[in-house]
Amino acid sequence: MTWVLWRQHRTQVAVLGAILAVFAVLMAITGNQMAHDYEAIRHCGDCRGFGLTRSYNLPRTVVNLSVGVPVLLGVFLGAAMMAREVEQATNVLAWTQSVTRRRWLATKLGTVLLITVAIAGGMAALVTWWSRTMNSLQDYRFEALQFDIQNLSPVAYSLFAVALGFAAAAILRRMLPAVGVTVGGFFAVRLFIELSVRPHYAATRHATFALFAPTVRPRGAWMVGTKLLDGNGDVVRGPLRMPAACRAAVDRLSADQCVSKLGYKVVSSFHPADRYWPFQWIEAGIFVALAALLVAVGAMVVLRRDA
Amino acid sequence: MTALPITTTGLGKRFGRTWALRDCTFEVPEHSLCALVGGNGAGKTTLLRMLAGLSRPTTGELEVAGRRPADDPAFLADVGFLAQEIPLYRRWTAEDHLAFGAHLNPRWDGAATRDRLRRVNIPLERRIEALSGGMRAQVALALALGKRPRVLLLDEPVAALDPLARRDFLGTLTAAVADEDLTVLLSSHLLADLERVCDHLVLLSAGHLHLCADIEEIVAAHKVLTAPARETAALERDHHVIHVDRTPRQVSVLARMGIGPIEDGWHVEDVGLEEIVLAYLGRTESREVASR
Amino acid sequence: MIVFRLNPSSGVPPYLQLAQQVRQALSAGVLVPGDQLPTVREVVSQVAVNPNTVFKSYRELEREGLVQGRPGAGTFVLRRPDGPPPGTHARLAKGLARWVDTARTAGMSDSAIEALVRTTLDRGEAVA
Repeated sequence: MTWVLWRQHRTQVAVLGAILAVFAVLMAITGNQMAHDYEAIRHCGDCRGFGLTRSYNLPRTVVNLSVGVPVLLGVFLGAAMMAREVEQATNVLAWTQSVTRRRWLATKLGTVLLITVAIAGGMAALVTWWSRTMNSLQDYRFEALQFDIQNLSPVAYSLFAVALGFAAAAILRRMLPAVGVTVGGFFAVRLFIELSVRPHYAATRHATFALFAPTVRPRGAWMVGTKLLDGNGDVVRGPLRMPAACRAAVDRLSADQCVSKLGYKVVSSFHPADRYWPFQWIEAGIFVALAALLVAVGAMVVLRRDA
Repeated sequence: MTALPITTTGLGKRFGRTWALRDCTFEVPEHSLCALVGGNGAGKTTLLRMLAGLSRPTTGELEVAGRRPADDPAFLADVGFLAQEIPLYRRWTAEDHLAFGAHLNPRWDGAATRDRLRRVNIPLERRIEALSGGMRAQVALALALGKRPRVLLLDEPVAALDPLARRDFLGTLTAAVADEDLTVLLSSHLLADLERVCDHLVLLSAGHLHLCADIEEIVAAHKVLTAPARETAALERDHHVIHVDRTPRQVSVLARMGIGPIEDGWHVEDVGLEEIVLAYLGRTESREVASR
Repeated sequence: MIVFRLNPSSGVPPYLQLAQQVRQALSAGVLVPGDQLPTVREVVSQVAVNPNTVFKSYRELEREGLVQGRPGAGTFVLRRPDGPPPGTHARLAKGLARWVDTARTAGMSDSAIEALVRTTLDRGEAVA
């Protein structure tokens, strides 16, 4: 069985391995270079960072694009694993050898999930290592995009995407619809969790600022949002309308002063830096659980349904 | 006594609201080459897939090689199946498929399989997608035979082959039956091939079983009776009339002969298998099941 | 070794066709006593026929005492069928060809020749 899987997936593994290797070389070269450049300017005060971030735009874009890796794995490993077999009826060939469908499926799923962890894990490790300079420079790793491509979460997303691809292919039995469901479903779930669920893993902390004072981002924090409150403490929705009391103001500056005096203020909500790891674990846990559920559903369909 | 290769009792399969196969009871004797005949949509593929354990019956019981189809290595090792699509891994070579068979089947007979492919000149190093339909069918057949099943189920394997490839395919198949302890159930539309190669016949029409018997017995039991125009009622009392052709002057009846006498005036003639099968297939509404 | 052929449209059952081909090979001296007949496997892979058909035709030849099946070894030729020795066939064929020429020169059609042969054979049967 292991030989069969190796024979079946060796091309995919070779292609993915090659991509990973090229990526590793790019990361190693630019990562080291950037760390070196950073050493040279780290003590120069305000100047640090700006030139650095700009001169590494290309590798940075590549690193940020790694956010798409999970869905690619979902399509090329997950959906392809089942849909191609069913479309070419080779599952019928496999299921009429002396190996049970159960064992065939368990070995196949096990191998594909292992490959997923290896590829996604390698990718995430490289991205995390590369980002260490940017992290110490700006400490944005808790913010939306960076949170999604470093450490645990990209591996969990990949497992979810592959499980989704497998389940979709098992149910739909056709490559194209399965790919559609994998891509659409993956982005829908990811965005939903990121926008509507992740901010609530813990209660946000708040910081209050005067209306026109600069809002300060606590180091390493994830800024979830800011609200404008009026003098009564109610949230102001939409653009700020000039309150009646201040309409007489002759110029911009006096108007601003007038509004500030009425008690208007800005409240920012954020998750402090020390919540990074708990959030990583919760996020990973949710996606691994979803992946397990999808694998179970897909496996049940494959084992129960007539071929 | 070993169990019969194939037995079914009241076997039925429903897809949604339509029955693809209904109330199907028959058995196939040991070591036979059994033809499975029927029109398109008669339920042949449905029957073969249930026998192979690929799909589950809606009603009834079935046993293949003495076991109920199940996700069980012992059952799978005893039953070979070749699907209509002749599924193979397109980018693999024949050699890869031999390794595939060897890895997945404990009773794999690599030497005999190589020998079979060598006899029909299959290039083992070429990818499947580069082989002709006949060569692919030979590879798939060799793969199905290589696991040394007790029962081999073939779903219209020769339908798409040219006459030469068909003869080679059937030659490999009959040679395997001569060599091994093997029973074959083979569906096809090509009655001339079946008549020559098979010794037993199962006839399905519109999801119902019409005949299951030894081919020689079937041919011996059926006759064509002709006479100047007359009633067939008396004949139908003692004999099983399958098909009646009537002109104002003459009547011609294909019947399975019972034990009763034949009235005077009928001219009795032997009839070939093909004509018998066509008579049954043309008679879908009547649903009596004939068995040995 | 002999090569079998089957003619599906001849109306003669396949097992009789096979047996007849062995008899012809014996008469013509292609097969001689002691020769082994092709195994069932060899015959079926050559002409794609049910193995039982071959068994049956060999049994038929065995019944006639022409061949003998030895379990585990194969089927072997025991003796030639009754009839003239090898060579007779060829000699008579030559004579017949000359006769047919004569008949055609005399203006007889092929079907008329066939009918004449048939009638002669039938009369021969009646006399014997």
